[in-house]
This record gives sequence, C-alpha cells and structure tokens, in this order.
Amino acid sequence: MTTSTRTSLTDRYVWTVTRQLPPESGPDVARELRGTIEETVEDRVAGGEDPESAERETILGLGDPDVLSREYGGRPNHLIGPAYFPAWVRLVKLLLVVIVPIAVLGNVIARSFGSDADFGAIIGGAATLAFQTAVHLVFWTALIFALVERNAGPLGRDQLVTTWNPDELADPADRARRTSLVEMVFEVVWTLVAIALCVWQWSGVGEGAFQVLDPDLAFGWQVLVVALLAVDVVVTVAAWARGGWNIPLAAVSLVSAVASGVVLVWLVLSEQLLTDLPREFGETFGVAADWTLSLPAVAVGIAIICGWEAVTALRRMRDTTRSEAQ
Amino acid sequence: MDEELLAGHLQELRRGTVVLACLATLEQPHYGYALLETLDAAGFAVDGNTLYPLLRRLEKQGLLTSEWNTDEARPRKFYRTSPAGADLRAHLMTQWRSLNAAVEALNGDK
Repeated sequence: MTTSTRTSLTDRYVWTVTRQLPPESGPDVARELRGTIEETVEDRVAGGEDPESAERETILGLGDPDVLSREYGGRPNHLIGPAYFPAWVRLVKLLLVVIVPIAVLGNVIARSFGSDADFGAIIGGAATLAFQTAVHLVFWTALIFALVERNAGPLGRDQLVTTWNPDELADPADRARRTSLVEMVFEVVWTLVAIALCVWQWSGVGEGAFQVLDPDLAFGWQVLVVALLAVDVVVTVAAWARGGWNIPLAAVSLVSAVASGVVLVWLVLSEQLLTDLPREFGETFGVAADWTLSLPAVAVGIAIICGWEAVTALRRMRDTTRSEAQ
Repeated sequence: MDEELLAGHLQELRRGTVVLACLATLEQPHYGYALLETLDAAGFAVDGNTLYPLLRRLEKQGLLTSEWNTDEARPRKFYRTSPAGADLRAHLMTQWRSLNAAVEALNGDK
C-alpha cells in the first residue's frame, strides 16, 4: 500500500514539472527526475527515515514544481526582465502623460454638447475614462513586452532596446534655466490672440459673426479676465528675458493659472460668460439648433486646462529649487 | 549579523562556483544524484532544484555531454565534461586563482 501512495506522489510531481516542457525534452526530464527522486528517497530510507516522509521531504526539497519546470525549460520566472524593464517603464510613462490627458479632455469636450450631464457625471466619467485608459496602456504594453521577453532572440533585443547613450542624459536645470524662444513666442502670440478675441467678443460682434462670449458680462469681470491673461504674457516674457524661471515668476504664473481657473469656472457656471450658444449658432449660420451645451462639462474642460497650467508652474518652481540646491 | 542578509550574500558569492565545480567533477562521468552527493561531500552545498536544471543548461550550451546508462536496474543519465567544457573550466580556474590571490592580498593589508 505504501508503495502505491509513494509512486503516486512522485508521479504527480514529475508530471506537474514536465507537462509544460516541449515534447523533445519533457519525457527525458521526466525519466531523469523520477530516477533522481527515487534514488534520493531510497538513500533517506536507508538512513532510517520512514518511506512516506522521506518521499514528502524529498519533493519538498525540490520545491515548487512550476518554478522547477521553468528552470528546466529555460523560461523566465518574471513577466518583464531587467533587459526590457527600463524601456517598458519609459514607454508607459510617456504614453500615460500624453494619452490620458488627451483622452480626458476629448471626452469632456464631447460631453459639452450634451446637456443632460451634470457635474458629478462629467467628473466621474472623466475619472473613469482616465483610469480605463491608464489600465489599457499599462496592460497592453506589459503584454507586448512579456511576449517579446519570451520570444525575441538577441537580435530582437537590439532592435527594441536601444543602447543607452550618455548624450541622452537630461539636464535637470534645463526646464528651469531656459525659457526657449519658441515657448515664449508661442505663449505670447496665443495669449495676445486670446485677449484680442475677448475684447472683440465683449464689444459686440454685430450681425453675421458668431457671438460666443456674453457681451453683457460686467465690465469689471472683463477687465479681470484680460488682466489675468496679460499677466501670463508679462511673466513669460520676463522669464525669457532673465534667462529662466525663478520662484517669484513661477509663483505669479501659478497664482494666475489658479485665479483664471476659478474665475472662468464660476462665470461659466453662473451663466455670465457664454451666450446661449446653440441659439446664437443657429441665428448666425441659419442652421436649426438641434444641439445643446453642457455648462458643467465646459467648466471641467476649463479646470483641466488651467490645472495643467498650474502643474507646469509648480514643476518650474520645483526645478528651480532643485537646480539652486545643487 | 542578519541571517537573511548573510545568506543572500553567500549565495551570490557561491553562485558561479557551482558551474566550476561541475565542470571539474564531471571529468569523470556522474549522474545527477551522485554528482549532488559528491559536490556536497566536497564542500559545495547545492540544492537539487538548482543543480539538475543547471546540468541541462550546460549540456545545451555544449559544455557537457550526456548518455543514458541502462545496464543497471535503474536507468541513469550520465553527464560528462565536453572538450568545450574543459576549455571553459580552465578559463574559470585561472580567473578563480587570480581572484583568490586578489582577495588574499586584500586580507594581507589588514
């Protein structure tokens, strides 16, 4: 009786270890492993051990059959090994930073044209979409890298993982030290266009043009919005002129971003900033208004854009502090 | 001293020596379990779940050759160092001696 139990435990172990091995090596490994286990057990029994516990201990000593099977098969015991892990992390970071905000903003813009959504639904929808996008990005890239890890030879490795080069080292002070001319010109032109559009809209666009901003907005608010935009221009030019951001300039830009966000969101939600867009659109272009605008969605969109500006300002402050600390 | 820390570093230190010990011992053909016992007696503590797959790997790399011996009641797979394995063994041994000398020299400074 003891014999049959003993054979069965060893059989089960050998079968578990070798069942996933390729047919050309599996049976050979099974034959050798069975012999090894039996011989070890016999030695232990000869040393005075009880056969059942000798078999148990021998198999325990060989450890997890799946781990042993991977050792025999030369298959990795990890999903993404050290050869690919840094490349994967770099790719995931890049994709998350680029794709998640675009997806969220696109979603919010799309929902602006459906009136039924309230604040909670829009924020909830945006959060869900951000989460789903992130999960998809991480999952699919991990899957691809895991497949490559298992199937690519040294040749594939060379193609996928570029050899690291010291010239690629980023200068942590770069972002803080230099405001590039391109960045400055872009920011100034964009903001000046925005100011011009605001002034034009608030002074009344007349017949034939699309009235987006409500000309009835109190003059004080109009001045405040334009002033906040102008602060951005001044601060960006100042940073470029002195050759980089410093704490006060970045702080002003942070305050301006937060203030713009708060003011614009409040004006949108209190229905002071925008006209009745579908009606205006219909009157201007002579098309029947069969769409609606969701103010909460517009507000969330504004909050995301201003939030992004604020984060940029915070990063500038952090980079400045770091480069000064060195 | 922290037991786990010590065990981890000892394992790192011993890792490569098992290959060298295998290539040297297998100048005489051995089967897996006998090799394990021989290495154990010689002072190379190695687990079966490390040694048995290692033998397959070394064989795949052409450093060992193997042959089933079915003369006895229990068939056994015998491994033996190939000429390429002997070559590698000589290289590893040279490296080991120079490392040993270097470590000894470190000790001499103390």
